Amino acid sequence: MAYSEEESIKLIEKTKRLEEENADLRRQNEEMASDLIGIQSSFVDSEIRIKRRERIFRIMQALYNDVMRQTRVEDIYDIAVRTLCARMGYERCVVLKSERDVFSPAAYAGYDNFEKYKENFTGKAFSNFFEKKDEGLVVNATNASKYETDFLSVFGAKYFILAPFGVDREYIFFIGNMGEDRIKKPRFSQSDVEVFRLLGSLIASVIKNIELYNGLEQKVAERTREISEKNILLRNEIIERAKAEKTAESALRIKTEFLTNMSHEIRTPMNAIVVMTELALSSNVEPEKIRESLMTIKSASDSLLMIINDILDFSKIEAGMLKLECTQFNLHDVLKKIYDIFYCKAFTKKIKFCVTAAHKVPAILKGDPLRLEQILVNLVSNAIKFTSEGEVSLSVSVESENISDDSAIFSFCVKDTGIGIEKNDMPNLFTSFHQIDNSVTRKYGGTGLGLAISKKLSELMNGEISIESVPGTGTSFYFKARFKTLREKNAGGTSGLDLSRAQAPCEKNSYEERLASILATGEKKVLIVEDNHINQYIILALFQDAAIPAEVASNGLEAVEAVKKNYYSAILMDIQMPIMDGYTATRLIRQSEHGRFIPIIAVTAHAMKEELDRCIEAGMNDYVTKPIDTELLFEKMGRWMSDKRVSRNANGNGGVNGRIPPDEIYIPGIDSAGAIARAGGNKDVFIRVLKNFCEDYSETSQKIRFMLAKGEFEAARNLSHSIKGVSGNISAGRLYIASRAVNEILKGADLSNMEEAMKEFETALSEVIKGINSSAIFHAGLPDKNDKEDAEDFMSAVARMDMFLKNNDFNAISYFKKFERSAGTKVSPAEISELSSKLEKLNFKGCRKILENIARKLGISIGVV
Amino acid sequence: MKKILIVDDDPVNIMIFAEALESEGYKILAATSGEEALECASREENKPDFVLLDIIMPGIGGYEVCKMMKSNEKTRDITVMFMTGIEMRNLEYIKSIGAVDCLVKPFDFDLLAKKIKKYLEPGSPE
Repeated sequence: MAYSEEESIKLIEKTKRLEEENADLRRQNEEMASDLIGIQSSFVDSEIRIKRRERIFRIMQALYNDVMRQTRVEDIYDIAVRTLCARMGYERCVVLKSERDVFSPAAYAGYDNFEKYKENFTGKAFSNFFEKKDEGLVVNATNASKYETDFLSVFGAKYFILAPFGVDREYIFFIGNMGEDRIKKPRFSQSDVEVFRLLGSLIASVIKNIELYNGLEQKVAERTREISEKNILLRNEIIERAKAEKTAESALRIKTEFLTNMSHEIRTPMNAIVVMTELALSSNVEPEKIRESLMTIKSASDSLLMIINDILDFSKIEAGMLKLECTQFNLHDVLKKIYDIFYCKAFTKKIKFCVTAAHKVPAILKGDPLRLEQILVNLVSNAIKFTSEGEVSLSVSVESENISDDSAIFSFCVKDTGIGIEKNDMPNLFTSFHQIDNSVTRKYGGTGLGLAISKKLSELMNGEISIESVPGTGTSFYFKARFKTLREKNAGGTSGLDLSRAQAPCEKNSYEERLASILATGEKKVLIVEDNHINQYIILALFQDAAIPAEVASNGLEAVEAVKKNYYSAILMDIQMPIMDGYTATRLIRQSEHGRFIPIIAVTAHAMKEELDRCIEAGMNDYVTKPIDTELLFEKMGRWMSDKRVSRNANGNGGVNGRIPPDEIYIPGIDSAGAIARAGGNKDVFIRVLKNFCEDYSETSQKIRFMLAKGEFEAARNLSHSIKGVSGNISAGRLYIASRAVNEILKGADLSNMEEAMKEFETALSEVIKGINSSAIFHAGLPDKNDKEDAEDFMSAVARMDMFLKNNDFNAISYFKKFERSAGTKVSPAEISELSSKLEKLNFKGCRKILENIARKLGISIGVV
Repeated sequence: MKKILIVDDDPVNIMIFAEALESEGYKILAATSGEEALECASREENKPDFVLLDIIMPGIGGYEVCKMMKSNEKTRDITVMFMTGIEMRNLEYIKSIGAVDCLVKPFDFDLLAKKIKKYLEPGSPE
């Protein structure tokens, strides 16, 4: 195809134009592409920045949370620099603190050896920078001024940032010190400064808060302290008041309990006195009943008096009216006294009682012996009261000695095997008016003042009382006090004391011996100890009138000698006598073999309580005052020579002072009072028993000799054994001892002492037999029944008695006399006496047991009738 | 013959009243503990009509005895009167547990006899 020139030119032009347009477009395109790249890159850049900001924000937030929890400014700085290094990539950071233009590093991070640079941060070196740089400063080695380069070289750094912060801009700066590039962006920019400033203001606000808080806290603390001080005071007061209230309350309670107790203790005997007096005063009452009433009144009055004495003693101490004496005394005397007072009681309770003092314990002391004694008496009496078996011991030892002032701390220990004390009860033990509980009071009686009195006394002596106890096993009371000691001139120490061997009442043999000595009444007389001849005459006459054999000793020493040689049924002891007074004599008699149990009645001119107490303490049983009231004397003798029941029942039979006429009662070789007691107080039974004895045993000595001659040792031994038992029952003391001696020899192989023993036995036996046969008591004769009738009577009596007992019927008491009469000799006096004493205590069940035994032995069946 | 059971741990206290009350025409039963008293009261034969009961006794005390008697069908009808040495007794309480009265020791026998008569023979002139 062909184109015209014109056409060609047009085409060329067109092409040119197109080419130009094309180039233009390309350029435009290129420009656009380049623009796009620019846009793209700036977009990426801002994305990085945004990300970095986000990151900083997150770190700040985390930091803020961390910092918020801090309470110490130092910790906040520390966290800030550590965070900057660890999380934001700065190599080293330091917080500078300024105080009047003097700088010092407060925290740092990223340094291996900060000590090396520490100097450089300290001082005024920075002040030039900071004066004008309010908004912070970035220095890079590349664009640093000369001054700045010097500054960088000091820290061996290529870059740093300084950012002031703080409320008053007065003290704190950051320095970001870049030695090596560790982050991608080697150069610091203003944005880094901003990070620092942001961080700075954050920290500043937290610090401000902390300061505010601390200030507040301090105020609060002060206030709290004040309040809590007041609180403590208040609380203490409350506690004190509560305590006081409690004390008052418990004191009140204890006092109320005490009053209740006292009320009971006083009212019970008062009741007996009121009712019994009423009964005695009412018309047409038999004399016997009146006497019974009076006996009850007497014993009730005695217990009232005891209670009143206790209360008075206690009040005296409480009122501070009690002064201690300081005299020389012998400790052994005190201990012996205690022993004398209690061995009888311990013996009758069948518990062992011993008093011991160790070898080195000084005996001569200075102090108040009476009060020491009172404390010991109290502790021992409690121990015995609350011990039903085993033993009670009082031992003395020296705990420590002080040679310079010749004093020593003595430890007295009273140990028992009694009921013991619960731990809870111990603190209350010594409280005035306190007793462990009502039932204890009821079972054991007493006012509850004893230990309180002892404790107060021990305090007056500068001593103390303590206690150890295991319930059910026993109790130990310790009393410790200091006494001055006086060394005896004849050196060699003090020998100890042991009052247990002398007595040991619980060993079977010695118990029997003692029983024997009680029964050994063969030729019993009353011993009158009196120095005044006229008095001797008067008292002797009294006894002669009553046909009671009596002897006179003119002073204490004579009395002691007489007791060693003879048995006496009782001793009347004058107090003031030449050579040896009544107290000493009594003590010596109590220590002698025969004298332990003889009733000793003091005859004293003074009715002063102190003197009477001394009599009892010396070991006397009772006292009468001069001029002697005969009736009272005989009543007291009667009471102590046998048991209460005897004198009561026996008195019903008339005669002197209501007693069995002495010509009837006096049977040589027999303690008729004791025997009647064994016969349950029934004279008829007593006579029957004696009659039987004569029939059965009058030939015993011949029989034994005959058996011995034939070599029938066993038979002889059996016979001697049975007469021993019977003689005990009829209270033939001498015969009892003699037959026991024979029996003992027959138990062994050695018969060398047999002849002597048999001779004594024969004498004693014939004395008793003759005595019984010649006694007026038998001439009255007895109504004899035939045996069969007797047995039937008795069977029904047993059944009837049993029925009364079974039903708790009080008729048992009045029926007992009939029962006893009907029993005659079928029931042993011991059983009758046991029945009677159980019945007196209204122990119906105990009585039934005995009755069942009796019935079984006699082949009677109970319960059929 | 009306039967009176006297309960007191001290036998002397029982003795004091027993004989005097016997002479007033009563039959007297005696017990020295709460346990024994309950046993005695619950016997069909010889059951007491009236109990004179001490309050403080070792073991089962008087109040307990009274409560137990009153809660037992067989013994509920027995009249119970307390006697005590304690001044501070609470008559309201005593009546609430079913007893009729309480005498404080020491009291004289006439008063006792009168009271017993009043409770045992309600119709009789005082």
